[in-house]
Amino acid sequence: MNRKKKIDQIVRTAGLESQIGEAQTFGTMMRRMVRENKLAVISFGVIILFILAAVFAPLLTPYTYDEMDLANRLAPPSAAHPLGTDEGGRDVFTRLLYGARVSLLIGIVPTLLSMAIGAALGILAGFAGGKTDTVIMRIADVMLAFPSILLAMVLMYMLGDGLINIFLTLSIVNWASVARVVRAETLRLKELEYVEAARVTGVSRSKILLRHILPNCIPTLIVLFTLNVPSSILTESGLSFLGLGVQPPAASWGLMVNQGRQYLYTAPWLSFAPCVAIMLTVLAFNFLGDGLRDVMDPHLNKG
Amino acid sequence: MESEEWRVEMNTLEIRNLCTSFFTEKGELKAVRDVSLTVGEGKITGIVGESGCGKSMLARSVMGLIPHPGRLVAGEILLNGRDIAKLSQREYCAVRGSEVSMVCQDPMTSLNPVMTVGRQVKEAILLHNDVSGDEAERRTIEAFESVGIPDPDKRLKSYPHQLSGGLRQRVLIAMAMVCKPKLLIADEPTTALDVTVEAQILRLMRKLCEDGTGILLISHNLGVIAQTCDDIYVMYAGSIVEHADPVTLFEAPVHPYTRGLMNAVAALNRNETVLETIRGVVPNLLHLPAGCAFSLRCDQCGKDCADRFPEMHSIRPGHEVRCHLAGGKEGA
Amino acid sequence: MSGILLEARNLSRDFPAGHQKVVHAVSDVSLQIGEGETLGIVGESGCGKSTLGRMLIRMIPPTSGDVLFRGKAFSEMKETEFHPIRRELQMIFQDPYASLNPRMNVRDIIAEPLETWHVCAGKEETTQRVLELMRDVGLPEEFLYRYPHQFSGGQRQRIGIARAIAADPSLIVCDEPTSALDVSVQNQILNLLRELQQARGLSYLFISHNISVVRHISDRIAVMFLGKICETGPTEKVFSAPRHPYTKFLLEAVPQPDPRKRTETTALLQGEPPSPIDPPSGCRFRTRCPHATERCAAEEPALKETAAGTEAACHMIA
Repeated sequence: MNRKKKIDQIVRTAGLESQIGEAQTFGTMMRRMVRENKLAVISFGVIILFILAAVFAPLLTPYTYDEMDLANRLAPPSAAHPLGTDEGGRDVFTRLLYGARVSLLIGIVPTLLSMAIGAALGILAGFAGGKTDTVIMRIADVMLAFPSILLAMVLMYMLGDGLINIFLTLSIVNWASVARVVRAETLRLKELEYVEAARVTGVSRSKILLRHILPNCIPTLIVLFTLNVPSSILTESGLSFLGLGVQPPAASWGLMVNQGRQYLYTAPWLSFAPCVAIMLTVLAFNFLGDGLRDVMDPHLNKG
Repeated sequence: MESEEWRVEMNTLEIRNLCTSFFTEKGELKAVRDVSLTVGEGKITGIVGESGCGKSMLARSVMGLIPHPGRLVAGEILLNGRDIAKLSQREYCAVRGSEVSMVCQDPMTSLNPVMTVGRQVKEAILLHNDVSGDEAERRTIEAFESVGIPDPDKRLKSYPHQLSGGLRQRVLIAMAMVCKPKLLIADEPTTALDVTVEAQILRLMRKLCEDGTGILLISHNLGVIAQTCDDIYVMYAGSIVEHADPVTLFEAPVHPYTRGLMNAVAALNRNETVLETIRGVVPNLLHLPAGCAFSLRCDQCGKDCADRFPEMHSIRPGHEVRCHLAGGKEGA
Repeated sequence: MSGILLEARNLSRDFPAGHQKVVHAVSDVSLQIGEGETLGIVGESGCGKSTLGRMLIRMIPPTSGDVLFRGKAFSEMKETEFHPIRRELQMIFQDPYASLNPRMNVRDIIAEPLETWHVCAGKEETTQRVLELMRDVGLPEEFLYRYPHQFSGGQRQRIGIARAIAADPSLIVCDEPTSALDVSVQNQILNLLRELQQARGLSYLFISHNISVVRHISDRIAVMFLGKICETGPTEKVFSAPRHPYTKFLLEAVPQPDPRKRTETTALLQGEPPSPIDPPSGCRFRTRCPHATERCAAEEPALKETAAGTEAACHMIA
């Protein structure tokens, strides 16, 4: 600590610290966000809260998600059932918590997968250029031209039910937009002078990719992640709503919205509760994504 | 004061004890510290200094364009006798372009790429003058002629990217001069230009003075300053450290920083094997010593140079230095 | 010094410019750089000097012509064959802010060439070597793990120089290395470059539009205009007795830091700079030259020996 202080002092008095620029390390960027963007911080808290609620669902509710109580069907919110019961007498709050597991999982895992595929193909296209670029991008264009819900429906129909199939479907539907963005980033980074310097030094192309280009794509990827998760959640909700996603008696928010449709006038809480949950999650991810982009985007950082 | 109004020759620009600071979370960054200077009518006053010395911020302070979180903290800016430092942004808009104009370093980014240059200049005219569109166009052509743009009526329809760097800079100068401001601030106007074009632009600037415009020329290039200015101020770490006429400044500089600069340039031109340098780096404006900002790099640094901030001493009328060692002495 | 290190023979480079137009960035340039020598290339924007520099170290392929390193031609070498030569030919860039990866610390930046060329046997030894290099370029040891944004422009340029000399190259292309620096810092960097040249026997191809700087550091010089060399020779001979009209204009246009020498009577170049897409026929400089004749439009002048011991491409020279 002493040595670091001494060095800091030398740096300061010799006027070496840039007056306007700031370190672009993860730590300083996060600190900036915490300071400047309370909404993003709250959103982050909400997401963590939902994840914890999903993980610790058994501890938070005495019921299980498929525990039927036919005597108590469609009961309005009460002390015993804070969010009422559904047409099978199952506790809505419990199904909300267990449904969170499914919906959040479906939000996060396919997004990770599609980002991995999209980033890999995007960097390859941008860096290699030429025919590789053309081929990959034309395939991506075709994917993007399809309405995503339609594509998802077709894939689910072909693959059948099951969580893994949902993951696959959503990954396939979403990789193309990621690839586009990452390719654009790669093209920009490729032209930077320090990348040219690495080529002059004789660094191999794969090392340039890994050491100079990929690390600088990470901020973009993080922001994309937070913005694509809501998209996956909404797509899943749509699929379940259409009966193609999660099947009863399992719970997911989309499914719950669908099941509550028939009782919209008699028992509105059935659809209302999962709708609010979806909305809050999507908003939270969006606000967090915006906040992250504000601190990470190098163009916005010029002081 | 009344006596000032009776003077026949009034200074176009008079800055008195100007202080501009940036209030950042790391503290107060004093970009301009107690700067006083004058630009006479029809004269070119030069400010020379290296990067980080505050000369650009000085220019922006005069224009009322200090970026956030900066603020003009103290001092007066007398433009033809009128203090503009305290004007609101709205009042400043009437002053900018018509009484004082600025030309910046990079002509490409100062021009709107999707508008013809003719339209941009016309806009400047219509903003400050209640004239018809045709009259504005006529004045634009006149302005283009006066800055030496060939085929001015055809050039009206050109887009910035179709023009060379030198032509773009001429367009900017035309735009700045079209409302006949009394003061033109030129912030590194030729730094981005080739040397053959630079010579043409500098000649144009000297011509502008003949019509009574005062020019505040800011540059880090000692050659440009030597060739164009009537009066020179040397800036370092936000303050003026020396002020003299060109011949005195180049032949007998007093301040150690000025001497370091002159030696560095002279060594390069004399073609010596080992070039003279000024050791160290420009200080961080957030962590300046309590005394003279140059003390850390000065090889004649005295005992209390770092503790007491030096005042401007007048060595001779027209030659002032901000240095403890030069107080009252000629040369050191 | 000894032999010819790098040679360019009739190098040309064209770039497509849309609408089937072509930018003739470099046209038919030949030059030589000897061991331990500094060749300066001076010219204004658009003259092709940066493109020429990059062709000489095989960062851009020429449209025609060839480059020879120690007698071996680039055109006859495949990528893998050329790879070891890459180590010998390095570059220093103009922008000290853009030429360093902001996410890498100083140690890693300077170590990259050492690791690429397997100069050292392990991490410890590499770090030691980096420290030596930092000492050689005048960077304090304490800044080993600092990031570029914490340094001034001059110091970042030193980091770039340390990176360039790390694997012991024979020639360094210096592409406007001091143009973005203040005068006092520029002198420090020029001194450093000279010291390193003497200590390591380096050759430099020094590209700049700043005539005073090029004059100081170069042994020989080539003046470029619109993709061609118009005058070349030993530095002092070219500058003290310029023969080509463009060289004369260039020298006269430089604003002298001497207020007593106010050149009011300088003849200035006429007209506008010609375009490299459609260069003038014959001599490319003729549209701006006050001495142009019909012959200048019809016939392109070749580089000829002049009485002063330099070479110039102009019909007007005896």
